[in-house]
Amino acid sequence: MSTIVTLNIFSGRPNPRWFLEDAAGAELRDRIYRKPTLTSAAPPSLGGLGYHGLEIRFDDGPEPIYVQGGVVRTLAGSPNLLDPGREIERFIISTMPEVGRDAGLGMTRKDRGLVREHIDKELTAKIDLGKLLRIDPPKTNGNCPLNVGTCAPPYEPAVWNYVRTQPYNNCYNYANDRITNSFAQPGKYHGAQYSVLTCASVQPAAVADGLVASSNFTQPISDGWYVALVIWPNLDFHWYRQDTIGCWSHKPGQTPAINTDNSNNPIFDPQTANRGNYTQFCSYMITRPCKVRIG
Amino acid sequence: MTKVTLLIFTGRPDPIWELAPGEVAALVKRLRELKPAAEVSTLGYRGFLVQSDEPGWPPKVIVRDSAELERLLLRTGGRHLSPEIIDIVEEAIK
Repeated sequence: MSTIVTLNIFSGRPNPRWFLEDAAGAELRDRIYRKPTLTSAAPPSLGGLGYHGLEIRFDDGPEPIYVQGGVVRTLAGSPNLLDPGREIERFIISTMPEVGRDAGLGMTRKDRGLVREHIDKELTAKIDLGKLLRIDPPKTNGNCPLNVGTCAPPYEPAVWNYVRTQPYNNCYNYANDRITNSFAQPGKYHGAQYSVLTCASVQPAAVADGLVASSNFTQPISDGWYVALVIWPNLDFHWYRQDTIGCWSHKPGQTPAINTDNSNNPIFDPQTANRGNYTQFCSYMITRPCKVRIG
Repeated sequence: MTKVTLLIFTGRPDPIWELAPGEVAALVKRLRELKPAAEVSTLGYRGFLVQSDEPGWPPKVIVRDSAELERLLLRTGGRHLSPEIIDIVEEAIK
């Protein structure tokens, strides 16, 4: 496992880069993703030339993430995360190796000292927490339908869009709020996987896993929440789930979880949302965490 | 080794295949010059994910909005894709 840090500071010469040792890489992931706080803010500009943040490349990440000025800019399509005390940024800076220990650093001992001095000064800059703490609300205009699933999950995409989770969990995992890292297939856990990609085959497979079909999403559920099954005829299936707020969200395959449809609109009802090729609406279903098992 | 994933499905796993050495050589220049696309969370065709451990290659690149390269990648997956999927992707690339 390798994690590469690039210090964005120079304009003419190559920026210093270094590898994090496994333990430091794991600690960095933990600091970023353990208890993420979402923010709508972008990393603030730290102004002109000089230090302007850190680029982090995890070996299994499809693209780099950026840490700067109290914000972690995560993967495309995912919300940014808050680093209010700039603790993540300070931690990364603290891993900068001594001159000679990492060829990628490309600095003399004197350069390194000047760079550290410059960054330490930059890190004392005041961050506007009021701006950073604003969490991006879904653009629902307050029109979400009533959620009557007592234990419906909140919309927390960061948990699903983590680099070690996102590629291995699909729409069925997300709808059931169950991370298995197996790209779960309806019925597979119970040896009753669908045979063809039709409502008539996939829905019974989900029933074998413990889900229950429903003609609506208005009957109160004391121990679960509503999900919905749709089909791209003969090619694929897809699931949505109703979140605490009442609107629906989904996770298209290995891509990030999201709360908008193919027209970038909030999902008030998956039956009427823009679903692209997934033209067949099978039914709403109820999932109950204490009864449903998927794999 | 260079692998290509067609980003298209949501429930079932996306089709994935390995490029032959000749195919790698034919694509390397174009991929190096490519501006990688961002990941999108829409239903349907979302591009190709190219993953490689070849020296000098980016480890992961998403190819979309680059029709010529997308068609080349689609061609490399011919044996692994149904005619229906190929038609759907060709239509989406247009």
